[in-house]
Amino acid sequence: MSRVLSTIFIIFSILVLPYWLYMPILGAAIIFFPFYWEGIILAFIVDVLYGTSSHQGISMAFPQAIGALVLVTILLPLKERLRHV
Amino acid sequence: MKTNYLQRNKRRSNKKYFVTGVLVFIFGAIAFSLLDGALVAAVSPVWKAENAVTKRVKNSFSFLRAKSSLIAENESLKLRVAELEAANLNGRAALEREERLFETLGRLPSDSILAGVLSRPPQTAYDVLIADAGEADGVSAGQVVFVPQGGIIGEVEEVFRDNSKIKLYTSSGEKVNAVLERGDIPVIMEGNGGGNFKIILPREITAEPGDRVLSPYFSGELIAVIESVTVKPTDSFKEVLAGAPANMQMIRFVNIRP
Repeated sequence: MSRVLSTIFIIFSILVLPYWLYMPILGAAIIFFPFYWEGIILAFIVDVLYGTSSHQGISMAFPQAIGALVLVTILLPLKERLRHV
Repeated sequence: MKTNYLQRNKRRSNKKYFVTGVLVFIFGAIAFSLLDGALVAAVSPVWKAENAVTKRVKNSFSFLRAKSSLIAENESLKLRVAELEAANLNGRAALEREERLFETLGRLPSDSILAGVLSRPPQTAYDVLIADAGEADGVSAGQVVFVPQGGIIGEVEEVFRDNSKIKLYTSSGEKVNAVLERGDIPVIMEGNGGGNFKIILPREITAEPGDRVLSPYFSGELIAVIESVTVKPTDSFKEVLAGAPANMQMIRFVNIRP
């Protein structure tokens, strides 16, 4: 439930708050929730709404989404290892 | 020392999550590439409502300001109006002369499209403005964008039916050809983000804070005003920082010209 509410709050933040607020909130959600795949979709929303390089290839068009994917996947084994130490 | 090895099924589950993440990304990349215009159109009523609410809240809080500060502000605004009226008279005469010159040369400036700004930095993460005029209003990609007071700020990058995205020249890494008014020296300005430009000049070239940087177009519109000049004794170049002609965080309207 908190995951859904957080996602709704982040969508709202993306639409009305400055980027220096919604980007850290999104990052925190990715770190806090286990396998927060919704973060990748939210990063796509940021890229599509505010980015301008859609015709320059995926890496230029969706930098935030790529960042979110990397963060989500890197955190998987990292969290697992932290739990085992 | 005790070593813990990951269990085989844990590794498998991580692999499963990784594959799911990549699949979400691929799905997102395809879906959002197709739906970008629809998403901007769907969100624009939210931005319009936000702009209206912000304006209303600002107006309501203005009643709470102290009387003395309002009197002081009124006095300074009266002085400013007088200054601007004088400047306007000079400017109008110059504008008439310019129009007559353009008419003689057959280069009359074309009509512009006035657009409201729905979203602006710092809400947008990449020095981008979202305007409420699109293809239906005659906007097309590559058109130059001005602030109503004059001065070029960027170009239309993407156009949807009723909206368009404007990439500001101050976007990080964006390079713009311009002319330094003092000495008519062609320069390349690099966007630094946050409404700022960086220009690298040979140290012999004179540039002072307050100097204007103009567009290389025939009309020579203002692009930036120099704010600071840094030169180290050992360097053969000087670094010039210039600011855009308007505060991008306060822009409410823009003119889009072909």
